[in-house]
Amino acid sequence: MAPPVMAASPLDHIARRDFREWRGLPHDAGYAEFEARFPRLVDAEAVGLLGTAHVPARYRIHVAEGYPQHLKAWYVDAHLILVEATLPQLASTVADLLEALGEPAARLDSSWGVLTVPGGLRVHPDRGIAVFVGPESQVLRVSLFAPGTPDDFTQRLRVESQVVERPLRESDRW
Amino acid sequence: MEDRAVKPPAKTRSRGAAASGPQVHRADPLGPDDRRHLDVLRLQSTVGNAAAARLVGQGAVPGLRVQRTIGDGHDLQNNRFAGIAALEAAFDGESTIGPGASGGAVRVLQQGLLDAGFVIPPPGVSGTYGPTTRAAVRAFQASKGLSAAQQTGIVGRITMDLLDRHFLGHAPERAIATDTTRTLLEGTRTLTAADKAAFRRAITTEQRTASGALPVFHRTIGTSPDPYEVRIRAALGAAVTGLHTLLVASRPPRTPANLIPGTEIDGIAAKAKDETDKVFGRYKTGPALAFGLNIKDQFDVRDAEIAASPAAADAAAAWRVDKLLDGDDDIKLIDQQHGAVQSRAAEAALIAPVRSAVITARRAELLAIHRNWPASAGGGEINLQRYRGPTAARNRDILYDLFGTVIHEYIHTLESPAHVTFRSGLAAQRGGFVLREGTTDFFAKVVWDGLTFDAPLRAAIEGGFHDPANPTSHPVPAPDRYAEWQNAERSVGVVGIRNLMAAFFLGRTDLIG
Repeated sequence: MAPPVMAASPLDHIARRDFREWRGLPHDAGYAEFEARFPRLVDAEAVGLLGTAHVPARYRIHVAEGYPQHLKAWYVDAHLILVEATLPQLASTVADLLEALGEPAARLDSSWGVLTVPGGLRVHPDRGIAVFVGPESQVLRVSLFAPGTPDDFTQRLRVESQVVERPLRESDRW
Repeated sequence: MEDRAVKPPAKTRSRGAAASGPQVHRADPLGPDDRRHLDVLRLQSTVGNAAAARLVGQGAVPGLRVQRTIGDGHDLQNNRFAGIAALEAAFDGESTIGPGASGGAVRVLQQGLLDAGFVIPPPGVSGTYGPTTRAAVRAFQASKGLSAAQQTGIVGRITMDLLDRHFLGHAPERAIATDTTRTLLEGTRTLTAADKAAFRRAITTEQRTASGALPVFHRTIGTSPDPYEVRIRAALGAAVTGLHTLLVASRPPRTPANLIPGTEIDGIAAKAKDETDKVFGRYKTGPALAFGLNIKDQFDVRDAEIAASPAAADAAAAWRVDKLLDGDDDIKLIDQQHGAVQSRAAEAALIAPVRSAVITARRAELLAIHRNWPASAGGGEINLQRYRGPTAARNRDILYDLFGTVIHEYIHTLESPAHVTFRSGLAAQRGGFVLREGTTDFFAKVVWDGLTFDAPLRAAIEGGFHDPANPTSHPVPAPDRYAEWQNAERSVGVVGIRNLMAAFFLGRTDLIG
């Protein structure tokens, strides 16, 4: 079976860093097309678990202009299911983006390092986007996915962001 | 753990003596003998408890022997067995375990025999010491070269010692993991309710107090001129200074020459994967970890977090102080001396202004400590410091530590989603943390203990710091581990290594609980 083809539009939105008109990744989005557009930072791929259902998925890091911390592309088999951008340099103001997206279906607590931002993750499952807004109203992270329900996002896509710090060890002594 | 019908030790065993050193007592069945008792006491006061215990044990005081307690320095070493009264008593030569015995200690013995490769036909791990268990013990004794007369099928001092030593290097676990003649689930066993309860006890780290009552708080105590909050402030200040010296002031400048390059990290990560796959690859493998992908520079990550949000910087400074208030040894001691419980209203009211003052006055140092903290992990990624050390020897130590860390983190990536779900449903101190970090670290130790640090492996890890002229001269530092790996090993003693691996790697959590 031929790999699924992604419409050009979502990739253009990502390249332009403008998500005001974002309508979600296609449900049959292909990872191959994504990586043809955005080169890999490193060839290696990693495995991880998504959502409360701990769905296994793979990911790679890809390079794109205006994304100083790069794009993290999650895929299952050949299907691109999630793209994350941390500290993106958006084309629009944050206020414009949030206004364009409207009221989120859910506001979830989310972690930025050791800081928990209550209700900071604004989830728009029908638009296939979740925006993590920091305490100073900056966009800390954008997550892009195919449109679905709030449960789809929570159970199958949300990335665990809470960090556990390793205790100081004897070997850390200089 | 009940030990019905196990021949009881002469004296109730407890862990209470752990901090006070060996204790020498007259032991039953000896009758009263005050002169000899005084001899022992004089011996103790002259040469110390440990030496007295040795001398008495060697027969220096005829007619007396050492009544040992758990924690007296003559204890079982493997966590499968350590601390189980009947097994410790057998190890100390104070009792034996044989036909007719039953209970949890027998179950652990039976599971140990199975994991050591000795068949116990049905009823298998039953908790009852019957003929099949005796035959398995005989076979174990024979395998260790005991004489025919010593092949009693009864577990006493020598056999318990041999069984304990048998597992210290984790060779049996590796043998099972790599046994290609058996399917992955062959040899796993269905757990009884007693097994499941014992497993839960093994993975629980909750502190239990005898009465459950909170201590009485004293703001001032006779041994210190300063009140509680002044002492806490002084201890906090000293802790911040100490950490800053350790983690910040002693670090080299962050120039490329002083940082381990990503390619070097990738090489070590690939080696860590190879060595781990040699042990657990039959169960599961995954991609090697890689720098820039799921290994990141802790300093850079935290610097970006702090730079992006003043509130995140505030939170980081406060978090560092809270970690010290919660975990610093000197502060714990002060709490103990004052009977303080920091969450209680009276103490909290005293601590709050101290906390705020330290956060404000030491903010820059706290943030520097935060950026330079050695490591953190989450979301499938690990963040590490990449600093080089000041000497070749120190650099080798750093690279061995990195190697050990990446083995641990690679094993994390092999955890089955079902196991993640299972342990996520447990509170941290009720097994959640043990099943997350303890089990992972136990598996990492199983891998590490089987490594042969020959010249090729050392060269792969030490990289540019390897000395071909003295290829094996550097003492390989053992990785520091989460204390909870011991709980994980204890849990293996209950359910067996096959069950634990099937649960962790394959998601068969019904085999652990």
